[in-house]
Amino acid sequence: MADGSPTTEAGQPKDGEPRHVRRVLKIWAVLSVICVAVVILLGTIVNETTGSSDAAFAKLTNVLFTAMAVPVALFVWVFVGYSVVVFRERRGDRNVDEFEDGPPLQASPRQQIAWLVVTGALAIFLVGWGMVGFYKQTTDPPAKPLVVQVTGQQWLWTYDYPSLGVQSNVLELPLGRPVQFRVTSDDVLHGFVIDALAVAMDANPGWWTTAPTVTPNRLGNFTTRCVELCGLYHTYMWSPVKVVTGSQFNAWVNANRRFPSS
Amino acid sequence: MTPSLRRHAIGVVAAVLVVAALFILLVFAVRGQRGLGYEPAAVHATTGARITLGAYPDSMACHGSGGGPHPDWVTYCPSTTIKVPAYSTVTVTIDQYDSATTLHNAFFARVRGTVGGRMTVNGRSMTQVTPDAAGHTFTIQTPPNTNESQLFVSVPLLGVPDNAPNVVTINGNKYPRPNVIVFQFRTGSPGTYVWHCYIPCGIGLAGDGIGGQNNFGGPMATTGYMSGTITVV
Repeated sequence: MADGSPTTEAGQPKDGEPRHVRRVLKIWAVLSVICVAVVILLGTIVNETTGSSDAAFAKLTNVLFTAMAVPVALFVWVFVGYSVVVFRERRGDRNVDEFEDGPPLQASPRQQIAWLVVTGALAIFLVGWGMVGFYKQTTDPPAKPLVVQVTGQQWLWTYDYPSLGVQSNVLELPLGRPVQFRVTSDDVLHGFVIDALAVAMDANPGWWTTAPTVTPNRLGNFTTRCVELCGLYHTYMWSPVKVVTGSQFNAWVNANRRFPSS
Repeated sequence: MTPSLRRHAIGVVAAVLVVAALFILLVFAVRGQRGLGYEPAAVHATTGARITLGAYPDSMACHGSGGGPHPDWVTYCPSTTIKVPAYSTVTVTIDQYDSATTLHNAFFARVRGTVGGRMTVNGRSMTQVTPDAAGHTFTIQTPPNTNESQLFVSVPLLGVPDNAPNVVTINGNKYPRPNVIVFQFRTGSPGTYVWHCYIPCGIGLAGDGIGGQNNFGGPMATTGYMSGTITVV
């Protein structure tokens, strides 16, 4: 009973009985190949353009983990679907009184070991992948990043560049310069997210939360958004993010420095 | 078709019809919603390139007899629903009758997005106020991910002194002589924007009790009082 199908005492399938497990595995393999290809294709197309190495790593992680999860999910769904369709009780097959249990399942050490090895390897890989990502984000931080203080308030983000004397409702960042975000809230809990830079952190009232530094590596216009439902205009709580060249950034700073009160 | 199959078919069709009816009902219910929140019937649209508003310490001036459902809420009057022409310079005059409340975020102490980055207060040109002198702000912002022009205007409204005598009567209620704030901003392409006061001038609710950061609820979180919409047409 190597593949779970009814067999004779000699281990051969009963006459006319297909090898169900083998059929299921074939269906699973074909669907897995198709779905993994679709996930990789869609993951590349759908995800937002990345603007930093961390974002590129996050995007790769998203696609890879989804691609790895697809065969595991299909393994369950195909077995369940196949069983529901093939082993269903058909009208006229037999009388209700003749229902009987199927053949008892016997433990198969080889299958159990294979299951443990495969799932264990997957889990260890996921942990290792996450630790590598965390290590890359946190080790050897730049000595003098550009600090941007982010304040969330129902329903607007404001940005303070303390070393430059600039306040703005638009997040302007220089290309290639490490940036560290310090995030807080003036009222309720907000969620500060820049998808393109892989920045995501809670804005807690009364607390400053510091994120690992991120270095924008692509010029362009991106957006921030709030990911915590925070009230009436929650959906309006966003702001433009502009990654510009160093000279453009300096010009913007000079144009937006605070000036004395009049 | 066997009777059993017919029963199954009828059941499937009935289920589809019920789900479709619920979906249509949901669509109509959502489309029936007007505005982004509570907008009192007494508030009417203000239209034109010259907008005149008032900021009051209570709702007696424009929310109907007795001040409406929340007579003690601060409010803008006579309207929080504003229409202005596209590609135009809009002049806004705000009579500020309320006293000052300390800003939590000094960002809003500065005039931003107006013509020349300035406003006039009682005829005097200013670019910012001290954070503890602002009573309210009039701040316009753009909804995300739209084709509308990026519009951001934020003007702090200088509060009247706490001990100012009540010398102005409106709807039978007395208020101090207001600070008159005037500023201009330029509109772009047609679209819908929101505006809001960013000084915590409301009541408890949001953030209440967290490091004293309260007063973000009530009128601060309700269209028709300290927030509204601006439609550029």
